[in-house]
Amino acid sequence: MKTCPGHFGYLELVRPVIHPEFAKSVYLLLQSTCYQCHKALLTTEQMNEIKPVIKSFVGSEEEINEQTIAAGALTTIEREDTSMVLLKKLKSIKKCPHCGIQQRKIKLERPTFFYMDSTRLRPDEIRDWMSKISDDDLTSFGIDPTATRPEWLILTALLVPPVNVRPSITLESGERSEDDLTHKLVDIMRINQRLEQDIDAGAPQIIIDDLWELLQYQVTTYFNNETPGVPVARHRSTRPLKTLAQRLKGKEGRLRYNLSGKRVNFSARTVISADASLTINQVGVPSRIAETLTIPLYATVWNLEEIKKIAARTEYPMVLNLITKEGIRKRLTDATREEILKIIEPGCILERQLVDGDSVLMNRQPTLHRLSLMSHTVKILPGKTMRIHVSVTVPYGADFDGDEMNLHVPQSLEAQSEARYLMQPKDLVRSPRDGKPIMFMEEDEVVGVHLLTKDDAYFTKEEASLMLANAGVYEFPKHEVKGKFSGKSIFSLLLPKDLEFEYKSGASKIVIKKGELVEGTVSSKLVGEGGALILRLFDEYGADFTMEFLLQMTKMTLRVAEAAGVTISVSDYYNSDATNKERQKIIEEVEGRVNDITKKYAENKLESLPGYTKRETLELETMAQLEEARTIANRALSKSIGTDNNAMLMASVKARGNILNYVQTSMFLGQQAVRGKRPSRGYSGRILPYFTRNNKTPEAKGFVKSSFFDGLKPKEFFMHAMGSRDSAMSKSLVTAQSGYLQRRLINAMQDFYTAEDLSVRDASGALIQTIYGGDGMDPTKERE
Amino acid sequence: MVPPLELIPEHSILSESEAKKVMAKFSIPAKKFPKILDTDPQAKLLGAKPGNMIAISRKDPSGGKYTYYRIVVKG
Ligand SMILES: [Mg+2]
Ligand SMILES: [Zn+2]
Ligand SMILES: [Zn+2]
Repeated sequence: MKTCPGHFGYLELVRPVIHPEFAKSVYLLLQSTCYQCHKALLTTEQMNEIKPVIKSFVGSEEEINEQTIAAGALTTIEREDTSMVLLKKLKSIKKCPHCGIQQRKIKLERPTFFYMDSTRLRPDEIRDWMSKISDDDLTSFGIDPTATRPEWLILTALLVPPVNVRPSITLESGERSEDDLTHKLVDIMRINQRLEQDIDAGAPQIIIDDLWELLQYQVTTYFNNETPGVPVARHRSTRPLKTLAQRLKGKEGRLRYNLSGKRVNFSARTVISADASLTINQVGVPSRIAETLTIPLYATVWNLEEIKKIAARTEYPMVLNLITKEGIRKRLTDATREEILKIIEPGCILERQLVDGDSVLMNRQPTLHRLSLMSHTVKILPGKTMRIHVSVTVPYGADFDGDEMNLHVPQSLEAQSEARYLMQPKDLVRSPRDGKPIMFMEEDEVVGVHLLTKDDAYFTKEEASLMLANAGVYEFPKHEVKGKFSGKSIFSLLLPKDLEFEYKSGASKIVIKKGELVEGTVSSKLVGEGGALILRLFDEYGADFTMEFLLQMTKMTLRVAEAAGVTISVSDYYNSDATNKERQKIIEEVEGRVNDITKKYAENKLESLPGYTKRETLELETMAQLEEARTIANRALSKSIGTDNNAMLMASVKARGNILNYVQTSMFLGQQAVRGKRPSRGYSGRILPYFTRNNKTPEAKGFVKSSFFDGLKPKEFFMHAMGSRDSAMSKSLVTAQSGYLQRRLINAMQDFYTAEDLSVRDASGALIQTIYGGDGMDPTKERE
Repeated sequence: MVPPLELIPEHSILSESEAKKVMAKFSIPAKKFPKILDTDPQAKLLGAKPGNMIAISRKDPSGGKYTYYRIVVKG
């Protein structure tokens, strides 16, 4: 392997040129010193007075502490002010205090041309001037003369980087193509040589000056081809040359592109989609991805024969590369396979295509969470998307509306075992936030369990067979009622035979005895968000059982939901005459109550709430009444609409949507809010010109009486838009703000860890907390 | 001087030998402990000097009592 890092050379310039990036520093020094005696343009006394200030400006922090605290430490802003004042003072000095000569005006014409009263200062003259500034003066200017002499800012030689920095590439045609930097260096050399020849030949001064100026231009663009005021140097194809500054700068530059943003190998990214036959632990990988990604196999004395067999394969699970003991990567092709097989020996590494059962990491951005990066078991599938179980969607925050995820193949054995032992979804069912399950059943599944386990659910032998076989259960429930099986008994087949479980919430009660669901309907409280049953199974029957249970439940409940045909249509929201009458009544009653409050206020009979004025009380009580309207409508709807209405069914079992959505769709939208209050801005004393001034009636203050089903009136539409815009704005502001806050917290705490004694330490071992969280609790492990 | 308030957990200065024991318990030198300024009202109240170790007994709503340690530094 080539190990030489290359060696720098240099190019002697026949005539000195100004370093373009330091022109400003040179300018400051020219302005601050006398052109005749080259001393700083201040008297010795003034210099002594100013020295400590300068020191605080350039000195290290410790030096500042020692000296300037006594003199009254300067803040950064004060320091900047002082240096500005100093500079202004120096500029305004007309006469040198040392030799008494009248100072002349120095001008810098960007980027590198200096003039003194309209006569050009040549770089060699400037260099002479710079070299005559005393070390003592330089120290006062904040320059350390032992490190940098100002005459070094005028170049007499140019550092030439080795070819490693500017490699030439050989094109397929055999033509050589040189790097932009090489081109630039060639340009500089050419001009430099011509200048030398012309000087030796005694050419007229004008010609020499022209070439000198050209040399200055070439050197300037060599450093930065985007120097303001300089025409860009171009390639023959008119493409601007990429010189030193362009390599580093900007998004595509060395810093942001190569150092901050590193690319990784052994990874893949595609759209994700759902697959109801995968466990939460699996990931469906498209075969095209599996054929490209590889996993290392380590050849040892014990597995040599086995490994040679794998390497000899010429079809799909093939070995793509061999890495020899020396670390040389050799590609296996039909032409090279025979040869390479012969050199396989213990210590070699073979790179095999991905197969079923390999461990890979799945990640979805934003990675806010340790659960945003989990280890899945590969299942090769046809198609082009990566597939995951719907329940594992929650910790990733993913859905399937076009979301993409990244897949990484851990390469080292350490990485592989870390992924297997610490990062599998089945082991991470409990949330690190509160210990409640974070992988649970959703949407169709929740409707499914409800329909399966409600009291009057009975299924024929045929229906039961389909459901059970789908879940991989090949037995029937023991009890048969009139040739049918109860849904509860079918569900019970998925439970452990010895499970004893009871759950009470409000009026409903769920009882499982000896693994039989004897009472109650399984709800989302058991298997959905917060899932008490999932928690119990995970704690007592383990990760593998829970994983299987989730998969079987998915398969079974989806079959139930599918058979029932759970879907919604506009007809679900069509109101009966009775409902319409009810709605009319609710609105009228609310308006009546608001009127009463307003009247009471007008008659000065309204008693103000503690801490509020009368007017605030009026607004508060009015708002309370208007909010109440939705609750009343909610109650009325839940009473009059049964669960034979699918929209209502889904809302009431917490599968999808809520009753408020239903209210807004078929009854009325209700009160719109801006900044948590009734809308108030717009025209003076009113929101729209269609209202009278100071009209405080519900409809003038954003109470929308229409429903989405009927459509909104123009004024109502406007109120709704005000509310929507307010909530959209505050939502986006809150997410941006909390995201940034979280990022800062994560960065501040990223290498803290809980030590064996449960104390929290940072990377240096320093103590952060004597006991983790003040109580040493891990919510994930906590038991009732 | 600040009067003790019920919302401020109890601060106390550890003796040199007690401090040594605490450092041994966490097996780290004094400078690796969290810090408290000698100008802190509680440190002033106790008359703590730089180098002293202060024990703070905290009552946590979730898990009873635990002790936190801070080294006094010059403010
Ligand atoms: Mg999405
Ligand atoms: Zn070398
Ligand atoms: Zn002078």
